Amino acid sequence: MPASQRTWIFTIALIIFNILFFWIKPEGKAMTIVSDILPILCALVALGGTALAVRSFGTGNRARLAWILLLTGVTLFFCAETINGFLEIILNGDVNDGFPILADYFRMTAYIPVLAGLLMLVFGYKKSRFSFGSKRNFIFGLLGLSLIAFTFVHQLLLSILRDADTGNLAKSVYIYYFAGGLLITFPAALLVYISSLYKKAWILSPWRYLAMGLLCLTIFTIEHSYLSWNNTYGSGNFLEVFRNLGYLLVAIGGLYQKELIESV
Amino acid sequence: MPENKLMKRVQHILSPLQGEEMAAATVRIHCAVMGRKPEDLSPADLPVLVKSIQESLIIFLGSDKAQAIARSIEMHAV
Repeated sequence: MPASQRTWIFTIALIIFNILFFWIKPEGKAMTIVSDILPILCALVALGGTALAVRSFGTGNRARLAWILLLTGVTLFFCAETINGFLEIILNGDVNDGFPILADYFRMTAYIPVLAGLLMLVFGYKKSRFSFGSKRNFIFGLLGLSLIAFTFVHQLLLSILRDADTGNLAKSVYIYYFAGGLLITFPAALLVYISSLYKKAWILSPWRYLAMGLLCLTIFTIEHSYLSWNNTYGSGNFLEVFRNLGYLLVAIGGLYQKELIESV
Repeated sequence: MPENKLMKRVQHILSPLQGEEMAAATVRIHCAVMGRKPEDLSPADLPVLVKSIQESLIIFLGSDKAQAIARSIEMHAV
């Protein structure tokens, strides 16, 4: 059985476990442990998937560089999750206190290579002269996404910016998360759209799952920032399922890329 | 569009990876770049067409595998 199929089975099993566990909501430390261990595990799987994708490319080409950038981003996400877990499980701290914490700096840095990698794929596709679909669909899609993103961010971000109790550093980090999230949303959504343009195009599958995973991670980060600011976020929030699913979809994208290259 | 054996063979080589729709689009797009219609493709056009397709595949597969596909087209399309 190919690694991608095994990862699909693992993903389904883990997400079902994740939902059931959060639904049961066990008392005590168990919730914190599971809530912190799962993202570390999922980010590690994503790291493995993207690393295998990078290794499968030959040396010195722009596709490999794009995947190296994505791998760098995923590695930084993994560091952020590990620091979070260490602080909460080992040091018994609360990561929602004293925002931003060290993990936030890793997560913020991760946005840069991830965005660069996604842009390289989008511009590479454009350079290949393949279609972006009908102009009307493309423009309506872009306007629709811009409207949703703007409304979403406007509502959440304005509440934070108007809050006198939030310090300037924390506000800057919130702005960065929201702006970075938006910047990643556009190329990621574009890659999902591109990968739906041609039927049975196996060559586009890695991009589809990679981009869907990054969209899940972005939605999680934006919502998590807002809820943390609002003091309504705690271990066992169902939003975490999105984050874990996001990492695992990134892993599946990487494994599809590896299998695609090996199939030639 | 009238059938052209060369066009069909190139599409046939690309379709396991790209699917039939994208393979047909690949041939159409790269013929347009050369200023040719797909139905008018001749073996003399093949080197330029292959080079153009190879370039377009790099972002998906990397240079080595794009070159492998290009070689496969050169060997099996004519």
